[in-house]
Amino acid sequence: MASEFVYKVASEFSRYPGGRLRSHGEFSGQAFREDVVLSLLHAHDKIIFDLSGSAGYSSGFLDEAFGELGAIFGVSEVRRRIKLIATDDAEAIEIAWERIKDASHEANKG
Amino acid sequence: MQQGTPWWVTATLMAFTAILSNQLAVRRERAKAAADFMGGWRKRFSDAVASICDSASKHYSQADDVKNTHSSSCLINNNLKRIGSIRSEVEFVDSANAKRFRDAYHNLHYVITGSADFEDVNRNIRPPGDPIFESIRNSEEALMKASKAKLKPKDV
Repeated sequence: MASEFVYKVASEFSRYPGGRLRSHGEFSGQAFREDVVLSLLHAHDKIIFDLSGSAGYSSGFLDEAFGELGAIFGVSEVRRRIKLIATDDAEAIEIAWERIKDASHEANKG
Repeated sequence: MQQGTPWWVTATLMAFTAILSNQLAVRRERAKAAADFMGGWRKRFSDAVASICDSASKHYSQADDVKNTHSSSCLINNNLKRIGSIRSEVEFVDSANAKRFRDAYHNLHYVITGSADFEDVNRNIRPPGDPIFESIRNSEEALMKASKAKLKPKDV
């Protein structure tokens, strides 16, 4: 069984994640998805993103960072390859999965 | 010799009464502690929600907040996370109410932080009639209404 790669967002990306798009400033959700998530998915089959320890995530960041994956891969493939954990922010995980499902649903409709 | 109630019946009744009385007292104390906790929780929760909605409205309407977009948005994200933490101290008795609450919280989170300009350092002040202010108020009301459902402390 392939091992799961663990990526700690607070220590390896930023404790203060930014907004939705690169044009909005540093540490955006778009930058996270394009520079971190997609590269990691290219290199590893399964990844655990640990969202613990940050100062909080905006819906825009979660939507752009993780939600878009639902549109790209489909929710079942995202579920197979990605696990989101957080010891201190259960809501961020729920919101991220909601966005992944919504984006996948939207992509299937379109 | 006259036959009365055997001594052991009296003793057993006395012991039973003492145990029952103790159990009732413990149960009353626990119910009171839970009610006190929930009273405090509701106050902390409603204060936190009101505070974050005020901060969010300022974030979109005040020149200082627009100028300091990054710190203002970080503070809001952090306070939303704190609401999630306060929420985790209790549980809903009815799962339908738990879902209603979760949806209301996620909606408030999205209304406040999901806008494209939430953390845009080049954003503009939103005018007083902008729909976002009404959306924030409506989401706040919906969340407060959802929090009125029957709850209990998580460890009880």
